[in-house]
Amino acid sequence: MPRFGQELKEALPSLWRYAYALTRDRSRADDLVQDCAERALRKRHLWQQDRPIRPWLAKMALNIHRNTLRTAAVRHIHVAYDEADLTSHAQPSAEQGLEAREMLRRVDTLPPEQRDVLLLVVIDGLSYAEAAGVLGIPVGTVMSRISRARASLKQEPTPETPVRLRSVT
Amino acid sequence: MTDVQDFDIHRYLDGEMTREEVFAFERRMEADGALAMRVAEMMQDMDTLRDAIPTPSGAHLDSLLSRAEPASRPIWGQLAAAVVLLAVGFGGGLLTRGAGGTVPDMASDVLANASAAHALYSVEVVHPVEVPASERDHLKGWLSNRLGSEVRIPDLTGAGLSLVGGRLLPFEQGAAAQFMYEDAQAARVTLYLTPAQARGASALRYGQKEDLSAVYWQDGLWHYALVGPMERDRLSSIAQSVQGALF
Repeated sequence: MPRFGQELKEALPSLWRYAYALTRDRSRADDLVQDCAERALRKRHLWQQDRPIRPWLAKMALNIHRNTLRTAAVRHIHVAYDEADLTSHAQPSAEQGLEAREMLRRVDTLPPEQRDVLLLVVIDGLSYAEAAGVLGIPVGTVMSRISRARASLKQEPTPETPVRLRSVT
Repeated sequence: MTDVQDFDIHRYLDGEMTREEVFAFERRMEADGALAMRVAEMMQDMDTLRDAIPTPSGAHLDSLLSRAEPASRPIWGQLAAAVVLLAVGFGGGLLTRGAGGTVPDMASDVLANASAAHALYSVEVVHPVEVPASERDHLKGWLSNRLGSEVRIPDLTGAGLSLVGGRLLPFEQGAAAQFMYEDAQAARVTLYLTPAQARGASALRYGQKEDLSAVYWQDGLWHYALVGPMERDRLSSIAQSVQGALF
């Protein structure tokens, strides 16, 4: 199945960027991508050629990532789930400008369900329908979450008080 | 209308609109400066977000992918046992390429080219190959250079086949190598190989045309095809020898 190998290879750049957006760490992104690629290769017989491979990989990445967080949360019970959430590994890196870091910080303050949609659509480049499939929600919900996410990102930065309270979707 | 309610902004930003909708929305922005400003700001925000995420090099991703591949290569026997036999037409009038615009696939392309090359050169008495087996090292070096990757010439004496020599051939945008072998009865078998775009491993795919059998497979960074005037079983057994000799 050479087609499969080709599709997988072509999907990797956006998968890696998505993995990085989830983990905020290069080596964690590497691990996540490698893990997804391994599973995809093992389950290649389940892949249907007429279906895009990227949503499938994105769903795998998100599930693996969530499992990792859950495992970490179980191991360190004293760590509140929110703290063990996606943002704890975020570390400013020298390669990122001030504006980029501020943007990521604001993304981190989004409610998880809005952040999930935003990253799938903007970073992984999935369509609304694909993102809806990955998250198991209606397309209309994808739209309302992404619009809320963007409205929140647009607000002025509030560096002193990281905002956690957001509207409920 | 607030941004939260105005889904058109987001459908526009995320490429969810049809051409007509894009056109209509852009007209709306022309008439509504405040709307255009909001869209521009969000677009800027999204660019900032995209730029905040690094992009790894292709080489780095290739190494992740190769590490993700199963550590042990599938043993040929297992592969053959699990084989899905797909009859693939080759030569003139490809079965897989008829009406209906079937997507051309690598297996049929390689089989078609390998079979055409076999038919053309295996009947040659005086010039069956460009470089004869007596210059094996030169043949190997030359073809490795031209194909951009180290070529190995399998020794198939165990299968009763001696090397006649090899040649360089065109394949799609690139090149391919053909090695010709002969058995004691002077029946000729050719091994055709061309570099793959991506590492992979495939099941065996067979083709048959008149008295010629062909088998295609991909392993690692190469596509292979073996063509010869024999039954499929005999060809499969030679293919096993090729695998054994290559790894």
